[in-house]
Amino acid sequence: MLGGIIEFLLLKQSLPIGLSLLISATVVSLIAVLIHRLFIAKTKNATELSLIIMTIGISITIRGIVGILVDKNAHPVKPFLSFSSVSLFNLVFSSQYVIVIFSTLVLAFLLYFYLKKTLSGKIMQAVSMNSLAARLFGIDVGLVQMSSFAISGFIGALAGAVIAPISFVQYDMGIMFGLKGFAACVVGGFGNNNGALIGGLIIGVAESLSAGYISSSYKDLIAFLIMILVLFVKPSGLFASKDVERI
Amino acid sequence: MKKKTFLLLLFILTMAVGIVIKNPFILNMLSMAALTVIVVTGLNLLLGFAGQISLGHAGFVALGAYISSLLSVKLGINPWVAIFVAVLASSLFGAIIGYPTLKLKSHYLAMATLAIGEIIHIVVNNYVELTGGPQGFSGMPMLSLFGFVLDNETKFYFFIWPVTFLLILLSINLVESRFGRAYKAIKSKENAAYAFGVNVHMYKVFIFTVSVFYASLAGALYAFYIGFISPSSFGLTQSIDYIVMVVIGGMGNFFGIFFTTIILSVLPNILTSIEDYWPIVNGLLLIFAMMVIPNGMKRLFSWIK
Repeated sequence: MLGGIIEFLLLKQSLPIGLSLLISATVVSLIAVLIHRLFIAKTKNATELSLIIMTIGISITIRGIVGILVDKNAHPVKPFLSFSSVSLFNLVFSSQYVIVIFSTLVLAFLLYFYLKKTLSGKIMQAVSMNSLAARLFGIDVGLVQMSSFAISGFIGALAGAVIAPISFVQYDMGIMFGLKGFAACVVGGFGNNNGALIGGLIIGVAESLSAGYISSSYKDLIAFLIMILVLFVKPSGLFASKDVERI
Repeated sequence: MKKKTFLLLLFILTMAVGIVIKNPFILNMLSMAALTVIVVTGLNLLLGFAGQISLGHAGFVALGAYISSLLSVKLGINPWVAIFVAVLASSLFGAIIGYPTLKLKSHYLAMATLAIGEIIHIVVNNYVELTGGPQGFSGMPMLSLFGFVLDNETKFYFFIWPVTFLLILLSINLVESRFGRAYKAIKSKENAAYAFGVNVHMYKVFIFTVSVFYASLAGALYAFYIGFISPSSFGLTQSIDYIVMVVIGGMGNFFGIFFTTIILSVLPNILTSIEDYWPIVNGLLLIFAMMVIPNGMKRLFSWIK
């Protein structure tokens, strides 16, 4: 949401699209780092429950602040490309959709490369698997957590900015995206980027199909139904790489 | 001081407030606070005692409200029977849905309950033929007790507060029973509790069902008190509000939560000029509570044993 809003504000200053995209993503990742520094790292005896509650608090605070500083209306953002549609194999796509798909693929590839091929990516995975063991090996867990906050902030902001021309920019646009993102992760299996990608695809296609065949007002329902079904039947996700604790 | 003595004192105090104050606006506000206290007391059992989060409690409130209103308006069933059936059905739903959900942990549980709440919200919002959709649903008759109709704020005040105190008493009794000790064990070390033969999962499902019972009862009473319900009163915002109240009140502490809930549900009515800032206040409260006072207002009430 922040990504989309900041991009909208920058574009209003008639900055070029590429630059405003970069600035908004960078600013958001800085904010994410700040949040980690100020709140998460400072919390004493943090349990998972308290961190969940805290991040809920942070997200409603940010929404509230943006709702007041900017406003609560939905703002249109003009598409990135000058032509509005492209046709491929007799199918016509809106140009912004192509950009969304393209940037998703690029980001997925970069993430894959980072996590599997670079040392810092491997360290991040180690911390996610067992932070205590990672610490024993001399890894600065706090720093890794901070950089993962920065990366997720960066990607989240990019996503918000890229989707903005399709969905309009609004102070509470992020909730549904966040929830469905989580649903996609659950379906695909946590800690598995390719799984999340496929999960997102499954959910998105199921939503569109249900909007077409059942009713468009229930399309949001489908994402949650699929997520709950997967959680109940196979909580580790369809393409699990690590186990979800289950009694 | 004993918990139950203090509860009795509080009860006398609220009754006195009801006798002294004649202003219907304030009485209405306090009655609404009582309904919230019921929901939050139920959530406290789940979050404070069993340590399981639910981000979908507003959905269960909606369930109680809509089922009871639909039964009474569409089928013409007596309101009390409607409330009874609605609460029973919602609790049953809670038990069924809780069984697989409570096998999950931490953020999976949070998201699953959130999804359940959202699903209820979406259905209520879109099934226009039955629920009226975003326009809301009305036409519920007034509740009456032995031929005594609860048709104004004062009467409802004197009905809802005793009910609330009864429910708090019930939850105190539950926590101090053999059950309650099992939950303390589950919260502090789940594996150890399991090893000592506590059927962790069934205990969790049971407490979840109880908290759904509280939520749906509050929802049903709310529906018949206001006579109008709409999906906007049962969204994610409300679910988060309930969490805020439990957390600030000090998870597991009945009286901290009691006062926090009353304050947090009355304040927005008084400070209408800062309505826009309310989400920020709520958010900051949550962050502050988690960072500085993870036990909430527990210490303030530590003299009550």
